[in-house]
Amino acid sequence: MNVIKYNFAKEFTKYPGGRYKTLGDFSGEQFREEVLENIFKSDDTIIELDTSGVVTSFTPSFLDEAFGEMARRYGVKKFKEKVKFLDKKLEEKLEEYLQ
Amino acid sequence: MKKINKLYELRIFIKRTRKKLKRKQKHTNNNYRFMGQKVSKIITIPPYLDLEKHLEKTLDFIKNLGEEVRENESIVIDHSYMIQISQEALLLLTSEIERSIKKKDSSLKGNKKFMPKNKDIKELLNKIGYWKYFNIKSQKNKSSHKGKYYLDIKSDTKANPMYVGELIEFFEQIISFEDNIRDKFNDALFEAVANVVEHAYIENQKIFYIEGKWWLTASLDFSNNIVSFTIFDQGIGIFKSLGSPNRKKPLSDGLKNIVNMIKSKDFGKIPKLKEYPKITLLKKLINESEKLSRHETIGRGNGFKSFKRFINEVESGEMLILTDNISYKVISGETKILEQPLNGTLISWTIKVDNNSNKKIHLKKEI
Repeated sequence: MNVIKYNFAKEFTKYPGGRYKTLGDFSGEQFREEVLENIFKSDDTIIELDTSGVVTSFTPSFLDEAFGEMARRYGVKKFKEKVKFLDKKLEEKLEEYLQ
Repeated sequence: MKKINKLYELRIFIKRTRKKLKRKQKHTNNNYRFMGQKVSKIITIPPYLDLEKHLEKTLDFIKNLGEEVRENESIVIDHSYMIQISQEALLLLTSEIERSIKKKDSSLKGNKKFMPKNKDIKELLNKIGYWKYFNIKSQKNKSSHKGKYYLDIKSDTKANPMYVGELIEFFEQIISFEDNIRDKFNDALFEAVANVVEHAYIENQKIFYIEGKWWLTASLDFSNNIVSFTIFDQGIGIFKSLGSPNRKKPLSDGLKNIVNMIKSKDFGKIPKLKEYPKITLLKKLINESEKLSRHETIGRGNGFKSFKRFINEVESGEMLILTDNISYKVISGETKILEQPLNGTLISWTIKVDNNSNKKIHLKKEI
């Protein structure tokens, strides 16, 4: 299995934004399209997200549009297999968007 | 020799006096010249502007300012009589000036004669970045209010997360947040900005507007340990945005009924009665426990709910919503029906912070 270690603050942004690209930079939609979709296209790749260094917190809109939407499209089981979080608190927070 | 000198001085004196008279005449004839351009109107900012004691007068002035700027070829805005202005009123003033000069494709120019004379006002306008915002060199003055800090006025048409980052960093200079409280604060700030960009404006508004545009500022006041944040937009207001046919997300039946009541022309034969559904609607928007998932969201209300949750957690604060002709203080429940509607929506939050480090939000240290 190919594990991609992804430093969110360095590779995407320290300031995650809102839901849609039209509203502003670094949105959940942008992260989903540019990062997560590519991971899900490949069967043998998983992503390990390191979110340390993020200055502002992840807004509910970002979490829902980036991660919640992927879980709805591919199923919660597959999502959990492919996306791993180093920050366990964030992983817990995300649970409510994976329903 | 002495005689020649005296004659020379007399000639200079006469020349200067004539010039002064001429200038005065031009001024009184409403034909003033400023930086070589004819000025058709001088608008004087009143001594007191705020959204408490002088609420109606402030809104009236802001409305008139916009109209005067749009109707007159060129104007001078006289700041010299200003004595006191609140952070919220200053944001309204800044936005109205910007809207008007943008429509004229013009700019604001500085002139010592029309700058504030009051030292507190001078200091406030410098600290909040008012002159900087309009690219005008600020006045020099000695700082006297050591205990009050302002975030420079910010404005954009996008919900750029950097601004929320800057706001959090500004507050964290003196405040400590518990982790989950910091997250809630972040969410509330971001929702406030994102809501404006997403919901506040519609196409073809009556008065000239800059789509998605918001203005915000924040302050830290050590004299009473109050932290505040204000955001303003010149959109259609909360009630119209909820009733807009362009809405992507459906309203709940309860909210839909109230919106229809507000839109109905027959409702409220008694003056002011027709305003009560607006107050009910605001209260419902903020207090109804609705999920924040994308499928159930009602859009504009999420920012309010986020901040209400934040205030409930920190147990001290107030949120003022000023939209259309309604002023509503969420925590105290105080409502006012205004004579003069506001073109847009202003939301102002204040949070009382103390030194008790057991609190979820507390002061780090005195500066």
